[in-house]
Amino acid sequence: MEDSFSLQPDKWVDNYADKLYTYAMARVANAGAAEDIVQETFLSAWKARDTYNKLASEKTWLYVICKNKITDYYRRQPKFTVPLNTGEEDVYFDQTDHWTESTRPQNWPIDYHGTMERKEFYKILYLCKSKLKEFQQRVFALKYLEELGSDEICDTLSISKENYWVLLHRAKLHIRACLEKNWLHIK
Amino acid sequence: MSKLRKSCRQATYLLGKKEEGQLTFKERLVLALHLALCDMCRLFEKQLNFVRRNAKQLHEHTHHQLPQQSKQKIKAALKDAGEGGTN
Repeated sequence: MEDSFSLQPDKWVDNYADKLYTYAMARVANAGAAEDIVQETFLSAWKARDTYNKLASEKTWLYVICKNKITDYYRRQPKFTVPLNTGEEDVYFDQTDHWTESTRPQNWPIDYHGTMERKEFYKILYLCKSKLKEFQQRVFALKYLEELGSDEICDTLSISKENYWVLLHRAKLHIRACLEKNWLHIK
Repeated sequence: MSKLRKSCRQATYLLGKKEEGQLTFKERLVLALHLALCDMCRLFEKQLNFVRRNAKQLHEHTHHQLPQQSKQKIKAALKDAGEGGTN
């Protein structure tokens, strides 16, 4: 076990750069930002190396730093207000606010609680996430990947609760439809 | 109220608040009634719950390579910071 919980900064980039980059790419909407986050992660880790307490593995420690860098990144983004009446949801619903014939959720031929062919699901989930508008991607990342509650998400993104529910609603509608079409190839 | 009861748009919106326990009493009633009658919105809820349970591992099942140029830049920066790179 000796050295299993020690730091090897000279190997950080080779061992973890791609992993942290992948982690960041799942959470921010552009590659340049993800690159910056990885760089900041390593430099902060280097500066904080004396505080590493060996209670967690080097990898876990780096992920925690990376996660914080991502939150910082979100907090640095300019404040915004979501336009509420863009009609973005209109494609899914008819005049009486019912699902339309072509957008109504279909039965998914999957075992909802069982194991599944994961690789394809995640590949398509990443694609669907990337197709969301940037603000929706942030909401998606914080809720579905970071599993934060609405209070924390609104605080991190500096948005109102009302805006959050609208963004979440849109993101969910888009993600669901995108998975149904591209992952399950329904209709 | 009767308009709300029929609205899939409203119901799917309220599901977000439901997950957080943030529905008002009236909203809870409206949503429960709607879900009891609408199998499509029940499917919607089930499918998004599925996404919620599985999405977190996204980064473990996808792979992106940090551009080589970036890696070199970081290595150089770490070297500068550490005057030699190792401790």
